[in-house]
Amino acid sequence: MNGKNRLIIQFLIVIVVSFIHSHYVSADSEELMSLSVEDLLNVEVISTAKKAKSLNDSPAAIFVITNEDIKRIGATSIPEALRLAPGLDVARISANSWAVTARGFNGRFANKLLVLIDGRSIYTRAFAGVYWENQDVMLEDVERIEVIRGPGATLWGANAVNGVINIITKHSSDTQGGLITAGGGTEEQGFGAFRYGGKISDDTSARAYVMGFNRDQNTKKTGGPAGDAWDKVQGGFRMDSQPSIDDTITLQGDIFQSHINQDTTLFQVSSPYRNRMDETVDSFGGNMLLRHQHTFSATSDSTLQIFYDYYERQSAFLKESRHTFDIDFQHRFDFLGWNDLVWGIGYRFSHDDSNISVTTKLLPSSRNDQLVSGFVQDEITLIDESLWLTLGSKFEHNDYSGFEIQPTARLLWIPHRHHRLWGAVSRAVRTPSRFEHDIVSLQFLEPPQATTTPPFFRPPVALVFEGQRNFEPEEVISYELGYRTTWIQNVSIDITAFFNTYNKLRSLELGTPVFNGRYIKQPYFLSNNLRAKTYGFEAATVWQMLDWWRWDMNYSLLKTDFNNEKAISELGASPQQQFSLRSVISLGNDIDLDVFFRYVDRNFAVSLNAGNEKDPIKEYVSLDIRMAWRPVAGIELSLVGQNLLASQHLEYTKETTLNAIAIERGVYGKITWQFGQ
Amino acid sequence: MIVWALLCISYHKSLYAKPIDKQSVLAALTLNLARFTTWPDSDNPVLNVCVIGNNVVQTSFSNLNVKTINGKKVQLLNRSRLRPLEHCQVIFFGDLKKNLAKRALIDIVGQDTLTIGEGIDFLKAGGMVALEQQRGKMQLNINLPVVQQTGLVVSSRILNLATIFEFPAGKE
Repeated sequence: MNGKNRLIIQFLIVIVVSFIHSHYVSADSEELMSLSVEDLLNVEVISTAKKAKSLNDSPAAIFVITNEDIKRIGATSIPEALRLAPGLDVARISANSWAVTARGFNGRFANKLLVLIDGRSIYTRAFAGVYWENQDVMLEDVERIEVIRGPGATLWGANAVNGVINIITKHSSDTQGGLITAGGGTEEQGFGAFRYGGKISDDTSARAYVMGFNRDQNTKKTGGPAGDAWDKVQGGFRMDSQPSIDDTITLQGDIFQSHINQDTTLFQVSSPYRNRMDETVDSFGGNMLLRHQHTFSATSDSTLQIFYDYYERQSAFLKESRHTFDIDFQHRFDFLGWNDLVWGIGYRFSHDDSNISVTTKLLPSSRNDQLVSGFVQDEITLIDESLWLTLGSKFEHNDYSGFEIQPTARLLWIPHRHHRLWGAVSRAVRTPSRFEHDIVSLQFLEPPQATTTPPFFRPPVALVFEGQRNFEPEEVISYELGYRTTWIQNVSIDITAFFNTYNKLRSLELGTPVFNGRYIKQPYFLSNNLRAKTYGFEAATVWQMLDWWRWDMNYSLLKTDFNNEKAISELGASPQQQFSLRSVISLGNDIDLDVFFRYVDRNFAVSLNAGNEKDPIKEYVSLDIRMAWRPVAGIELSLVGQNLLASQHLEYTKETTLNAIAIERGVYGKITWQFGQ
Repeated sequence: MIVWALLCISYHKSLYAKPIDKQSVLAALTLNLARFTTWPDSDNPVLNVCVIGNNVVQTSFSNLNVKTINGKKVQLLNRSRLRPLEHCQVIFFGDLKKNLAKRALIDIVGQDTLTIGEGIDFLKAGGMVALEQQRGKMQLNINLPVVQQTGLVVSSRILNLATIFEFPAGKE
């Protein structure tokens, strides 16, 4: 037996012994009742294995990332934190851009995932997706991130086709006192944050924060610096007030500015035809949100929410800005004692402006659009404490595709306290984006060439992408089946199988080439000619091996069948298999040791510039390690190593670039000081 | 590696030979407090213990396997959906948003229900008994005016073990 095999066998022995041991030492609950009240008040208590014992009661594929999880993997951005969730495909394109999706169709401009921060939708109508580099919160103030895979359109609306991500920050009364973080390293060159929370009155608490960072550039796949370094400064506040026992008011806002460096290639129809440049994209934005919650009774409440959001981006490709105003009202109440009814209405107004660049313009350059929506959902108790049926639908009218209906039916069965079974059938749509309707963009240019046959010269060929006003929404019908159990002590298992059929997916159709005397214009248009089926399953397992040692293991399998071979290069895909294993060790209250291993299967990136050729991405493995020590109360020192298994690796390639960027290994140190709580 | 395994287990034992899971202690304390409480309808042969909370909270109660308390048949009722609360003689409030706990406590004002939750905020919201973890042990806190507003009688043995608070009682 060689050393490696011996090591594996010994490791397995430890695991098995620990598994048996964790059962052997578990407290006998019945014996507890033999203790007197005095005895019970004298026993030492400990909170253990919460994650390994909890079962979610939602009839949906939900996964919750806690504040503790985010801290303990050393995440420095929202996408990095999302890597913890099964079934999500999070790929870092460069230091400053990500491709994030659930259940397939990934890309820089992925468009089937709805993301909210404290109820504010951060999806942009520009490309029906999320500018992840614009979105930040002070991660120490995040309470939890709910990741819901599968359609969530009934409650959240259009574009929740493949999933919803709900980022929820802490109530300001839970962030009292000061918090300072500072750190730096090889990739995370320097970062820091300051937050202070206090009480304004007996009923009102508030906090304010400011944060910033500077991230280093990576390396081009072909070698050499990638020029993707960036920096950002962000500040914000949250105030929560309870003017009466039944009313809660929240006011919050954020403002940010960032400088995003990128290597850009722009095409032109005259020499030199291809113009490669290092540019700095200026990005600025802010938001303000007001929410009023009124509680009528324990089973009835209402929420009125208003938000305003603004962002602008100035790049060589396009300068765009967008104002969004949104108002929503929601009311939940108990009906006849066996119906939990919730209904709501909403209105959103969006106004954008854009400037013509050398290659790209939006026609018209400015557009207003409105969205009016309503929804109703009823959770019906069929058998008390055991069987629930949820029926509901969203109805909305938008200026891009008109009237849409997005219904869902969900069943939850709890046959035993250790088992949950659920199933769902849903329809959702992805409404057209501003770019899909109105863009005209020179995406690629073939320089002129000499030919061997008359006329012995081929003029430049310009591939021009033209949006279509008659582009229709993409549709999905989704079937899901889920099972959760805590049948094995200190182990929770959550499995979801899904089958999705997509219709009217976006396709690119070549138009008739036109020679205008200088160059051949080859237009390509959008159509809805692609269809796809995706199916697979996701599994999330938590094992509290010992009271101070937990394992989290996720696996996802995704099969994608397109009706057309070229679809994969137009729509993007996700890795067929993903696996992650996380070890969480807490030695007393002072020392943490976390190891996070990931395997990501090979994949293809959408590559518009290269004339729709598939751009292969190799499978990769990644390892992150975090060590933390709290020498005195309120102070934590941590050291984090990211992507430790290779000096660099490719995760994805942006659709509109010729330069793939490999993500580098990084190490950083961090100090956190909490005071005045 | 074997040494590491033994170290792991010995470390495990040294930490957890004594400590007991907090949620189990909360459930045991709740049912024990019911032992030392007298309800006005003392003839009622059933004691409805309503439990609000997730599966971990529910399981902590069912695992105790308590059939009777003071000769009354114990009926554990999962009331995570906060309805109906009318027939509960005891309600344990597990993890619940503050505003919902407050509202549920207002909804049951006038009922003879022993309400047990976690943290002093629970007493401020109108709850009767708050269990709070202090230096690794559970501490018993009772808001006397709320108890006195009902027909419940809590034994002096329990009152002597508790820290007594006098937050004003809630109104319907």
